[in-house]
Amino acid sequence: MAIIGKRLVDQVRSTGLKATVAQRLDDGFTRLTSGLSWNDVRGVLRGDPPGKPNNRVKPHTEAFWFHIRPTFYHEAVTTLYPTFRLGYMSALFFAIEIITGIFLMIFYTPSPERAYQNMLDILTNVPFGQLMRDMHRLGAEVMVVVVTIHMWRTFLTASYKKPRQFTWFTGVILLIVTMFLSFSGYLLPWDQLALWAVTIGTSMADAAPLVGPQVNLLLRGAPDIGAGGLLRFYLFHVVLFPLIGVIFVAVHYYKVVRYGISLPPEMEGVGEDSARKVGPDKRVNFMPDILTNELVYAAIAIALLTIASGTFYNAALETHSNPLVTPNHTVAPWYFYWLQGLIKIPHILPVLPEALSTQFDSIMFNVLGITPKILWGIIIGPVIPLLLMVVPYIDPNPSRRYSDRKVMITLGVIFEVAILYLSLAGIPTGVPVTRFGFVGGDPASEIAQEFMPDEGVGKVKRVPWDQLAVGTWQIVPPDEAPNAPEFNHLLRELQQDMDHRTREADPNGKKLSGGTANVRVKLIQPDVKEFTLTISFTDDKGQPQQYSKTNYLHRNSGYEKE
Amino acid sequence: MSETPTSPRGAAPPGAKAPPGFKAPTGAAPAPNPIDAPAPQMEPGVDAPKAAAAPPGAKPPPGAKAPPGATAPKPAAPKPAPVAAPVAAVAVAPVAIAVKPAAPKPDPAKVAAAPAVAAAPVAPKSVSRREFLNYVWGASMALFLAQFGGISFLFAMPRFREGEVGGRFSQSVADFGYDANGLPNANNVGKFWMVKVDDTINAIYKVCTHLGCLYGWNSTGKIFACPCHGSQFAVDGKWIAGPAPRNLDAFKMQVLDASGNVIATSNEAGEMLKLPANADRIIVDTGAKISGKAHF
Amino acid sequence: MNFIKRIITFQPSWTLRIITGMVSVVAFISMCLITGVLDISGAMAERDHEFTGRNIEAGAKYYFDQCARCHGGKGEGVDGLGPALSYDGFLGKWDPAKNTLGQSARLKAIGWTSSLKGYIEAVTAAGMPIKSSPIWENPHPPFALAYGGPLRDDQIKNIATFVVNWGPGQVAPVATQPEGGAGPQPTAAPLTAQQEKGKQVFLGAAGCQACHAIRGVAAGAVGPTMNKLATTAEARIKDAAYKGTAKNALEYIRESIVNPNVFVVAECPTGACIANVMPATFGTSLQPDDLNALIDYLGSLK
Repeated sequence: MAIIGKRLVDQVRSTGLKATVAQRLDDGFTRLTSGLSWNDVRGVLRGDPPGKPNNRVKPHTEAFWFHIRPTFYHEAVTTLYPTFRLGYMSALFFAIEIITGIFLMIFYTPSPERAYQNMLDILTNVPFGQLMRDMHRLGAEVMVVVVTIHMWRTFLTASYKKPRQFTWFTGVILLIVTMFLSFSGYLLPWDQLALWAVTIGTSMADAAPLVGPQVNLLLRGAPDIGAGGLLRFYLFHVVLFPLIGVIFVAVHYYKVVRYGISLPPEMEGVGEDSARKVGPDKRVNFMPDILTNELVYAAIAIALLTIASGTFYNAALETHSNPLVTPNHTVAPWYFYWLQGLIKIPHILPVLPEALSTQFDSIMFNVLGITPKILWGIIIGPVIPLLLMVVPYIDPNPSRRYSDRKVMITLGVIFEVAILYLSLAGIPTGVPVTRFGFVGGDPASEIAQEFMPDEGVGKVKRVPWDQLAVGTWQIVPPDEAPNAPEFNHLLRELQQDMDHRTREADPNGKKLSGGTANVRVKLIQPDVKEFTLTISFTDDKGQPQQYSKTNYLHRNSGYEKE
Repeated sequence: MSETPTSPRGAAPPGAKAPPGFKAPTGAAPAPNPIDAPAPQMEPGVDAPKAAAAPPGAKPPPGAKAPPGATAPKPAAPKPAPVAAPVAAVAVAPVAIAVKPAAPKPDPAKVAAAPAVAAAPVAPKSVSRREFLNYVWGASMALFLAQFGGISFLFAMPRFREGEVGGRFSQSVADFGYDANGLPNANNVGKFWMVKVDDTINAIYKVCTHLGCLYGWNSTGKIFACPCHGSQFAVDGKWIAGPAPRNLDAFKMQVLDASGNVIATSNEAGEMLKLPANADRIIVDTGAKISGKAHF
Repeated sequence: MNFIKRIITFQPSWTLRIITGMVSVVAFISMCLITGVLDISGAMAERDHEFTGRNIEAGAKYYFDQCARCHGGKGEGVDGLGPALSYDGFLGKWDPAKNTLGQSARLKAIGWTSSLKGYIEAVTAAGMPIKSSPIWENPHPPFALAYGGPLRDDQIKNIATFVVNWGPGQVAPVATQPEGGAGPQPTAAPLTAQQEKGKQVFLGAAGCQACHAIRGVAAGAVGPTMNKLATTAEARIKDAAYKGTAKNALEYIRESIVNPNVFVVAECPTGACIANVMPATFGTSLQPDDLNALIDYLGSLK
């Protein structure tokens, strides 16, 4: 200490106090920036050309966070095309999810007794709670989209070819990690949607041959999802998959920097990989150009995410999970619709005519013990990511040019169309386009489900509370309540739906016959009404039947907003 | 990156001045400074003096075929004996250099690249003791990993105590059938329906055989229908339509008379069980699930 | 194509980048500020009301599923089965100016020291070990999963919220409601001295109360209840299944005490009545005076 003091005193004596302080501050500043003095930084901010020696590369050797970034990019990859910055966006959204997730962890307990109430508290009693939750949810969905488009871009520009095959491989692993992160987080709100979507998903693991039941028990901690399952999924979501994600991001990004970001295909010769050979005139330095670009993109992405979460996007919270009741039309999360569609494929060889298909199924089951669900869902399902992984290793074409890769690109497009088709089939109501995947009961219960769904807000809940006119109202033909336009609109819609189902059979061939209906509204408490829809019809045996469904509606529930 | 050690003194080019503390090899004017030679594990100037005290690696490993030049160093070593010893410690290139002092300015890099070619024998080496011990150690580490995997699996697999999930339930005869609303009676703790068709009964598991949803009762069609993917089953559990691959699962039942004797049990296929006239109670064992038959 | 190419290879100038960045950051900060201000000033509270509303809806559903059969569809109570819940005696008087409920008279009378909601939750969850008043047939059963019932804790909470929500719209109870701690005694003709003595025998030496129930007097659940014994006896001796020799109610009562196994009634509170359970020695163990007084008392229960 005495020596330092002495040096300090000497310096002050020789150069004066002001200069000493300035020099010391600058020295400290340079240490903080790992090599850039204040004047260097000013030069960066002003856009001056770097001096000689170029101090701006010092942080890239001295500091960790700059060391893992490249010192310069080839100017051809600094525009939006060809990367569209999607890899950067993927990493950015991963970071956003981690940060919003940590905020949410402050208020969340992974216990069935507490989890739902914690969600309510976050939404109603924590400032920024709803915003944080919406950002986390929306960010997760956007991240799945972004990483998929990133994969698509890499595929189209053939950036997976030699020497980048392993980078692609780690990328597919990251895609799987992203999906599992999303899926494990899905369970945590512990509402009906969460419980049943994840029950269906893990039941697929249960159905796997040999190891299925063990894997199911490991995932759920019990035969059904309960306290053990919630805790395990929480650990997957918060510890295991983020850890795997970070490790693989590190490996993936190391490879990216090691080989350089691939140039646009048209700029290179066939089989050439010139990404690392960047002449000085083609270099765009990380500092200040790339850094600024990245900061701007991050600012735009975060701003858009926050604005969307704060305005039109609101993650729904359904009713408390009930292990004894499966709501109608339970669905997987949208990024797993394709998997749900796969499971619904009715036959092992669906292209055969119906009778042959069934026979073939029977043979396959009796000989090999394989049902369509096991083949398509459990065997082919996981094969799809594996197929993605091996793409670079089975692609023999050395050229990256689009015109030279017509076969590969066509295959990619076919693959994507197939996924979309399966996704459509996976939606519970199916779509006439796909010709399979329709799930529905008899028409009366379907009408009730459409207007008064088990979960979520249907047409009935959207009618303003005051307009729910007390009394009994016929549907066919529709009555008119005084001063209740939206209520009357609802009655008319009910009548139209019944009419439609009387004329046209649903994909299962069922029609509504002899249908009449009425709606009864009772006032239970000063702000609670009871709404009962009763549909009378004749079944296929000619017997009169009745189906009724009741909803309770509170004045303040705010369904119109959703 | 080449293997020339970057000592604080800087990588000395071949033939450069000898570092302090070493006697330059006399009589070998272009003889490259042994320090410049690739000596991967050694820091020249640090280990070299101690090398005179026979470093463990100095002796060629027993049984190893020493490169032809290796046996030469001792007699052929020039005056600076302490220098030769560390050189011999790495029984490859430096030896070659020491042995051939006349080699014209051998480039250390090239020498470093060529050592294996110059000195390595063609025949495969037999396993040395060290190598063998390393293999054994590696095997033990692999065993450790396997063991750790096993421990993790056992730790993470849930276990169930007697009477928790999968207990036995005692139901009366009257429990089997429909309630006032036409809904089959159910035991929600054990998760099974208690169905009755004429005088046969069954205890049917409430979980759909497709993907684990709880199916419901369709009162208009008098069938069980699952809301998830539309599977339908008759009241006795037989599959009617939909993607479920099997009939519904059932639990093993034992029918007791009033004094507690077992007078009937479910058959292996879990089919509807005929109720004897003197039936009093039925024990449903939810730990003994009978899988429904596949319908292909 | 060219146009698209121009767009995706566009190189923004420095100014554009910096301005875009600043605008984005300002937008983000504004969004956060707006959300924060809105949250604190009322949006959070509004969401709270919305979710409370949805909880009440859920509570209504479970109420009508599980509770309405004994407490009535309007919370007005059902005679003999369950008390009214939606009247001011239970909920307390509603003050529209302050939007609050007053003190509950019923809870004060029985000595409950915690809140109204707490009482509803506790009784719904754990039931009651004994009846709070003899005007009910059975004590309140437990509904919580932990005590063998079908409802989760959140469902019970929602039911309680729903019941309390009757505050502003209270409904007059249908039948007499229990008041005070013990509740009103069932009105009956005053007993003569002899009958009073017989009642003491019932409660005392003979130990009948251990097995038999008389409303307001005893709650045994082994043997048949005796609420309207005199009337029931008349019907029973006319029954084809009757195997005894009594010709009127009093004779039947005597025969049942002294010679219980001559005719065993079919239904008992816990199931079928079992023969040889009632001691057959009362004929000798009871003093004749006591026995006559007992028969007199039991014969008065119409």
